[in-house]
Amino acid sequence: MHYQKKLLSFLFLGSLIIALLVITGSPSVAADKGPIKIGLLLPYTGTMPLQAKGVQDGAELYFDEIGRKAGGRPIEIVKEDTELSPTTGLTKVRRLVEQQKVQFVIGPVSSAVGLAIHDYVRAQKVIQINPTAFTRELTSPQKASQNIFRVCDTTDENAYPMGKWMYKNTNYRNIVVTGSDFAAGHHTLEAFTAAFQASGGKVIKEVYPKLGTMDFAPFLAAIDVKGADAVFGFYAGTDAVRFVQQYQEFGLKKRLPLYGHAAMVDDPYLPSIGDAAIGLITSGHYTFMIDSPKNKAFVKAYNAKYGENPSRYSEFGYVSAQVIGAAAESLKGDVDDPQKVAAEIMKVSAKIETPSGPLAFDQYHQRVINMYVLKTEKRDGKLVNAVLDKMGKVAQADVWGWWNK
Amino acid sequence: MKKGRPVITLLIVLALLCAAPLFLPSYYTGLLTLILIYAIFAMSLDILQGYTGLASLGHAAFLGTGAYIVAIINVKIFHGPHFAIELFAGVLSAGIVAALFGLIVLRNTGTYLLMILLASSMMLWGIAFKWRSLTGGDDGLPGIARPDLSFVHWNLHTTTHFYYFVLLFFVIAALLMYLVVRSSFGHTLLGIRESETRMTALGYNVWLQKYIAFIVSGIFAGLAGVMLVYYNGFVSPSELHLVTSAEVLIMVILGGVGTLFGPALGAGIIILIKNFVSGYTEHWMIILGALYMATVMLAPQGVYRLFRRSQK
Amino acid sequence: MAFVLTQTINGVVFGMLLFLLAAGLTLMLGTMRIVNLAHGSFYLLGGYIGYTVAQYTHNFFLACMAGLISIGILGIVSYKTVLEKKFASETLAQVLLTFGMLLIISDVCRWVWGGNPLAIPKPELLQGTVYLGSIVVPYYRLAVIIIGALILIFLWWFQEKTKYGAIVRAGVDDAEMAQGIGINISLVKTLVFSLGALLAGLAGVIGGPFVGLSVGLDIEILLLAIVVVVIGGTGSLRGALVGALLIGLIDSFGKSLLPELSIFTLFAAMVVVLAIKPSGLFGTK
Repeated sequence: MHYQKKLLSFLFLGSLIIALLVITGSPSVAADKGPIKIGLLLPYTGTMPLQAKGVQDGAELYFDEIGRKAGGRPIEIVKEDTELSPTTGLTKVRRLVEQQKVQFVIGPVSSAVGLAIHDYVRAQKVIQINPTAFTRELTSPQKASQNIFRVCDTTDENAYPMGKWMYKNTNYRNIVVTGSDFAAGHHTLEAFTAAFQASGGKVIKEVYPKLGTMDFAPFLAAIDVKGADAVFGFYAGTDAVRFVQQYQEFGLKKRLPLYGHAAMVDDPYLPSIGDAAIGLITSGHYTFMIDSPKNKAFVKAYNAKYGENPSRYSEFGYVSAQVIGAAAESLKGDVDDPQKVAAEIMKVSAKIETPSGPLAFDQYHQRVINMYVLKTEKRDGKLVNAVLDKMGKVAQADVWGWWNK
Repeated sequence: MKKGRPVITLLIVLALLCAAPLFLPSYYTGLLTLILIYAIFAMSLDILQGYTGLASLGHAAFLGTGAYIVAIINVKIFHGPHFAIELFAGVLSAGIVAALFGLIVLRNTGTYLLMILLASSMMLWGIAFKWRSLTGGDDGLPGIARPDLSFVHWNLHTTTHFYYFVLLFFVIAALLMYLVVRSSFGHTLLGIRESETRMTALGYNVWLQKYIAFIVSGIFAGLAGVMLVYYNGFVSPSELHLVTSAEVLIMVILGGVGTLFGPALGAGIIILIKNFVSGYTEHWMIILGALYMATVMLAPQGVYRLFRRSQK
Repeated sequence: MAFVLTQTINGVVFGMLLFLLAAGLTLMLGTMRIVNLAHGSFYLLGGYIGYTVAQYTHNFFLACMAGLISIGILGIVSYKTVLEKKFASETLAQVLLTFGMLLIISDVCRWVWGGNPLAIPKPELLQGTVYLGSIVVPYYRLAVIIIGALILIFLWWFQEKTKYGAIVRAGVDDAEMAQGIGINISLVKTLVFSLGALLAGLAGVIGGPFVGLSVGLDIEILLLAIVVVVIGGTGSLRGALVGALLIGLIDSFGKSLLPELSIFTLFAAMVVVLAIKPSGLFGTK
């Protein structure tokens, strides 16, 4: 008797779920001039929620600015969580494409997810704007695709110019490079090393702690090697917070100036890092301190809506949305043919002014990006990344010669 | 319990599975394909867990090995699909890994076994993560082509054909596993689960039986890995990670340890709910967590046994 | 020489933090035979609660108390409402149950405290660094060693030297007999479980300044605690301490000598120990 009651409650629950699935299961009929559906394929859960939030917030801000309409059609946003997992990312992008029938996908953040969904997206009638997955392969000649665009800086576009800049603008000649031991870490440091050594400098040691290291003490001891005059690093997220803090805690900051990829001092993480971040010099494409009319307007609007300053990821999200909005507007809402849309994006991108500078895509649909050298400082009691120098526009083909022969 | 009942139920389920692509949208057919793959994976773990009584938090080792071997052959060696070789190599390599692990771990029992298997599969994960030239590191190996079955007029690049392909292997695997657990070997395993000392006293070579069960379990998990890599078109270290091992263990427990088909049901429930709920809220983890807790409270023996019991 | 000394100190510090994590788990796993996959979640939640208290009171000691008390209460509640019941008597049921708890607590933490990695500010006293020749040791880390040692002594004293400790040991060894002589087993078990939980919560606050608090930390901590408890042998405080220090030292030396292989260090250690001694170093199975 007891069991029957339990069985019944379970069956009831089960059939409720199945009913809901069947009801929501039927794909939404995309009427000819229905809304433009845009999927946000981001890691809402997992260890990169701030990146996801930044991209989403940036994109939503833009869509608000254009009144949630483009080319005469309303804009509908659908969100899917990749959970920072390649398999889940693939399942969710299939849902966006086959179930939700989106015309555009903004995402992903993780490079592994980006690679995982690449072949699938390539074969679908959808346009993907990649806001953050920065592994260099995704827009290499072998992998580049008509319907996929990327608006973030590749590891090459970021670290290679920085390598040259460091040689030209500092007296450091014997550098230790350090980064998390995964593909992004290696690619970034390799690009930096190639540039720095090509200029005549020397990278005397590489230290790669495993991803997710809690205690950097032993690695810091390894970095502190005789003859080194500076350090260039790549860490992201929680690792960056711990590394930068412990770098100061163990006294290295005084003796070995710390340079790195902008991810080490990402705005959302600066409050957590604290004063340990002051003085770091990094290479990035964006800081809310950029002094341009477009950026000032962007920062103001962002603050008004979200109560905080935009980060790199906000810029990536905003530009992704700008691209979609501009193309949709120019095509008067006729966005159902990806080939047409892709061609249109290439046409209108020159007219788009992004918070970081003018927009351009190369032939592989990778952004030709404006790079800056940033310095972390304390202004009015707050930690910010100020612009130290400009490295100018960087196209991926300029900086991949050392591996892409 | 009437003898005919379970068979009829199974036939109905099989019929539904065969007919599914006809009335389901392509996304759900794809999802069902994924469920079938994880069902094979979960059932393979049940042979170890439910029938032999050996708990494992490292079962992803076999799934991942099968997946990676196929990927490496497909992408690095042949630059194109070679189904027979890939299938054979994938399944065999998983069996070999099981044979190697089995030599080391079977002296451990209970929690310790759980942990040494966890550590061993995480070592494999570490290798896949670090050996970037072979495995692509954390980026993984994308671009894996599905088998070319044009000689039987099957185009595995379509969702429906691929679904039937996986369904075929699912039925074969389920049948084989069923025969294994129903055989005298299976009964020996049950005996070992109940009491190893008794079985030793009865003259069985307990270590050998456990070893064979371990390898059999690993082989079927490897098969699931082969199917998974064809489904995804890529492989990444997460196929070897603790999280994957934990997920499949949860599927087995939720479905019903020692029922063989319960874990398949568990796989279906978890994948469906995860996908469904995450489309509506960011807080799907709370709902999933509550579901797990509710299952333990309402159906501590697993969901499958709820149905079995009510048939008495 | 300086190198060996530095790595040893680093190893001992990390080991002490691991001991704090593992002590609670070894109580639950060894003494009570409960698999608690939410142990890392207890750590994280305790840390977050301590963080919030520290934000408002700027008092590190109060933060520690808050983490300790809140998770102690959570431990009592989870034990009485869920883990004590009949449906939770099997290991696998506990796995599913506590895994569910892990998911729920993880999401709640993300919901309330957001995705930013947070760090609890160190207490004023312990902010500097001490330089012993060329060896650099932050004061706070030295303090962690001392706190860990104090807690160890307290636990040992409680378990071996007090009447209550004897009651706990009796209750665990032979519940029926203990009940027969009038001991309220349910109360004892509840208290032991909550002691384990509260240790985790306290560890979360203590670790707050240098490990930080972030999404995904619950699983990292759980894994570390499991490694320590299993290598040391479940149920043994001595095992937990030795296991923790051993892991801390292996981790420290491993990372500095073979940084490329640091991804394998802990797991390799686990496989080696368990292959040679199937029940851990001090285990009694």
